[in-house]
Amino acid sequence: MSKEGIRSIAIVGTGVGLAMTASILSATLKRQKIKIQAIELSQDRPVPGATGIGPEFLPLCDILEVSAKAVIAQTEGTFRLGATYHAGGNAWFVPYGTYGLAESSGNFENAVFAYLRQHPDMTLDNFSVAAQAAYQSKFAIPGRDRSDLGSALSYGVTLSCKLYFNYLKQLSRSRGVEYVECTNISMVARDSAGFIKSVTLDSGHEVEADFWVDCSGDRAVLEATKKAPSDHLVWDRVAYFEETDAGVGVPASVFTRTSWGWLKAQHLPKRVCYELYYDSSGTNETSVNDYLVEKFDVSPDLVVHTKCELGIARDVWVNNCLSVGDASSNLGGMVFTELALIQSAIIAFVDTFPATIDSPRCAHYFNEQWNYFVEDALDYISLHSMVPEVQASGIVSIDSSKPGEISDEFRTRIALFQRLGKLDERESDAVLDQQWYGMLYGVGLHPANPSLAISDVPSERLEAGLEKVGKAIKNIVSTMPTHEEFVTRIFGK
Amino acid sequence: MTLKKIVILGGGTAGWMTAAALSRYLPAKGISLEVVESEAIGTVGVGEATIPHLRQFNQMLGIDENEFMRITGATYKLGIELTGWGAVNSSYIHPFGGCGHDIAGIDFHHYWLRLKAEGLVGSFDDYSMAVQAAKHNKFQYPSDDPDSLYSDYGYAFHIDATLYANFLKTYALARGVVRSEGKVINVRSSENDGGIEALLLESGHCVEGDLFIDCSGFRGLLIEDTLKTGYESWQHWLPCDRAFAVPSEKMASPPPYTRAAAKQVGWQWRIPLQHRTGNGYVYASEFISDEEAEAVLLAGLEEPATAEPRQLRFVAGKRKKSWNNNCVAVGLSAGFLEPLESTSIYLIQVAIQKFLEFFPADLDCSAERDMFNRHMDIEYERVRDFLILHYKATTRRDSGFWNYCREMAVPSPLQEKIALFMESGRTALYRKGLFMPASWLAVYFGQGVMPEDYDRRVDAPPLEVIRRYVDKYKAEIDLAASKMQTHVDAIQRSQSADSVAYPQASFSLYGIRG
Repeated sequence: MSKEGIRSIAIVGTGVGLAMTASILSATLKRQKIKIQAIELSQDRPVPGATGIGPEFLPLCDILEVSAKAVIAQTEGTFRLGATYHAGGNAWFVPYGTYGLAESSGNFENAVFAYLRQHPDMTLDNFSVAAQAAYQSKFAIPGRDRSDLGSALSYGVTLSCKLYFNYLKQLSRSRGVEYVECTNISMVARDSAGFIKSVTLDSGHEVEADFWVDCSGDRAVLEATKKAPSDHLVWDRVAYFEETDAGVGVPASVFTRTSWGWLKAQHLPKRVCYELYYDSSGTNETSVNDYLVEKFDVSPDLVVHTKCELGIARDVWVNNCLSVGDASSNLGGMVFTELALIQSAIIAFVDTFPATIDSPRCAHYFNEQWNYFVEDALDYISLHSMVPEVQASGIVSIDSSKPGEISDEFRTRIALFQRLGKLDERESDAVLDQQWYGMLYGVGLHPANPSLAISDVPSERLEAGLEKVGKAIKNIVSTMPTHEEFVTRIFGK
Repeated sequence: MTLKKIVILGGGTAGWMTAAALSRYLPAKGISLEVVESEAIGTVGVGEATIPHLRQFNQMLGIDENEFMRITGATYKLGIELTGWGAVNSSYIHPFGGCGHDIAGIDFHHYWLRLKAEGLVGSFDDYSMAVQAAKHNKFQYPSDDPDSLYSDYGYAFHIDATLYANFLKTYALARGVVRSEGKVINVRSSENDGGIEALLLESGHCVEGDLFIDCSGFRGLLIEDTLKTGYESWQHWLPCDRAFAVPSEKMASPPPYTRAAAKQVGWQWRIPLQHRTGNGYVYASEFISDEEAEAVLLAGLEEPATAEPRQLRFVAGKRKKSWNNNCVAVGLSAGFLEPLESTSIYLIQVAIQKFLEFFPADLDCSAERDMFNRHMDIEYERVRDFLILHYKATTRRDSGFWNYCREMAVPSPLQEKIALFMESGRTALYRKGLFMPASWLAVYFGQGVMPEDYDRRVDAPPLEVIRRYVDKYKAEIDLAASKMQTHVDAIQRSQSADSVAYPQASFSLYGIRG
């Protein structure tokens, strides 16, 4: 076990996950003169056409010291303000941005819940600038003189996977990352303590490094950790297809509930990339294709089905190997993409960068923090598979007929929200508070009781205040350009 | 079942803080409040050092800080001086603020560790604005300009807790809280669910309520005697089980910090107020007799005592649930952790604020109760672990007490934190609970705990560049601290007609950067 410092890192994987890891490490470790090698395996599974990135996109560009505009331009990107959901006749929006406007006071959401109890024709979406903009296919980035809108219009992007990979690969190469291509790894050599010393590629080429990052997906070629199945994850198959479209579409990913799962649509310029997540115990490829033919008139030959090797490892950093993305935490890709997980893990790794090759306490701490992240992510994903029941009393409750699917802690969280409209603080930032509010309210869990925080606000003042906010939001959105106009203005397309 | 009336059992700091806070918010909901207290039962009342969060509590209640200082005889507090905790002759200040600033995204202390390895820097707390001010008996309100050196700290107070409780009593009574005088001789419980229905007083008066807040002190008349909640002892980690407290004359020039001086067994506190000084000696009866302990306390006074020492006995630990059935324990009835880091009033405050945050919609409130208990468990455990660190991180070998502390096993979360720090110089970061990395670093470095390594990314810049940067920073801090007014002047100014507006409070130990 070495107490030497890390002088070289080797990353093993494919596609945009590999290039993302290489880019982040080469940007953050450049002063340390650490040699970074990227072993690019041949692709073993279909690559989605598009990848969505949330508000973590801008901080990532800062880390990489690149212009966000340049990245979007070179990757055929569009913008997104969150996610639209359609299920059983209902529609709701889960924004990246905060509800209300900057001058809205604390406990704004509680005030809105109280208001909505008196105005059942309205929803939480009426108080989200992002939701109103997305529904009308509008988009804008607030100028510096509109600091009141900065957090309300927090945004992410949808990028072409292929072009993003190309961009990141070129970027990391320009920063000294050496790429080696191969079909597969033929051998992993370890010392007696289990530390990886080298890998041999199928070409016979041997790569040595002090530290390893495995982003090879479900293959997990470095076999550093083991995934266990999770009850949270229901959809074990995904079908990919695309269709052409005239414009840039709505500034959001769109989720539509089907009998077997969810259909996710992401717009790029002139095409829409679809991913249909389904539970193979409830249907099969043929039925899914029949559905898609009927709904989209798409040829079954153009639909690619693949299996999701769902599962989670508790120890993602073992000895001198960090397994990221599907190699350790395959959460299905629908809500949390593999790329999002890789980005979060690698940035967290840089923050915990070990002084020496053998740093078991750093690894333990990293794993603990990562598990908080994954737990929060799984709880959020669970909401997508729960079937709210409207009871005789009209009160919506979560279907608790499947024991083991949600933890007691999450069950309490849901109950607290239903009773008081409150969220407790979590240890990770996997899911933003506004995303919780949007999703919990959207699936039909409406807080039943007024919060103490607003109990001393006269109802007339509450009503007047919220109506003013609602009107202000409508006015703001009315002045925004369409998503198409904005993209054209920025990129001249 | 709707909640119409809350009964608070016990006066003192816990009872009246609770009553005052609830009276601020509950009348709008039509909920009535009644406090049951007995003048025959004394309160612990040893004089209190506080942490910056109390400012936020007062602000929440709309209390003017200058009036608060006048009424409670308060002095300012920038931190705690801990002497003799590492080695016998060690001394450091745990400040309400950070040391240094991160550079290129890497925490300052890694740079300090690199320079320290080369013998190029002095103490870690040389880079703390709050420490430099405290050492020179200076005080100034922190700035809310994030670019100013004066924004790098927060502040709290030393107060007479009895006077504070009385002040809050007046506040609460003026807002409609009813007070009943009397001793509880019996508690009526529900036959259905075992919840508390009423308190029967010695006078024959029966006080009914829907929800009860137990501020009855160590005994936990409701939460323990009635509901048999259970207590989790932490005495194997915090072996002190007794204390003597005694007031002494006021200091001519009170310092803006509390002192916690480690002794051969336990430690002695000194809390400077405007009108007197509060003193106490916390000790483990297994290692020293009561008579010897009293002698240690009196020998350690710097001003003449003004009363006889009073003894307290306690068991470090917490109630297994702070909220059980329809009873919420606040203060000593919820648990006890020695006042080494002035957390007693904080734990009262956080219980009240969490109770308000999760205020039950009605009495069928298992979700609110579970969430409250979860939060309070974390709060107590985080404070506990930080206190244990002070004992564990000693190099003293001059008594059986310190040998025990040095060699004792510690809770696994703390063990992991210490191991992480020793391996890499990193401090674990968490969102819930008190004491962020700045505090842990103060104790580690203050008590001479040096990690085996540091973030090697700081090896990249030339040593001379880092040294010049750090030296310049120290010079700036020293200059800024020298320009502050004296602590005595600051206290006088707070009470004068031309007092300066005090800054907004935040729920943080470290000022606006927290």
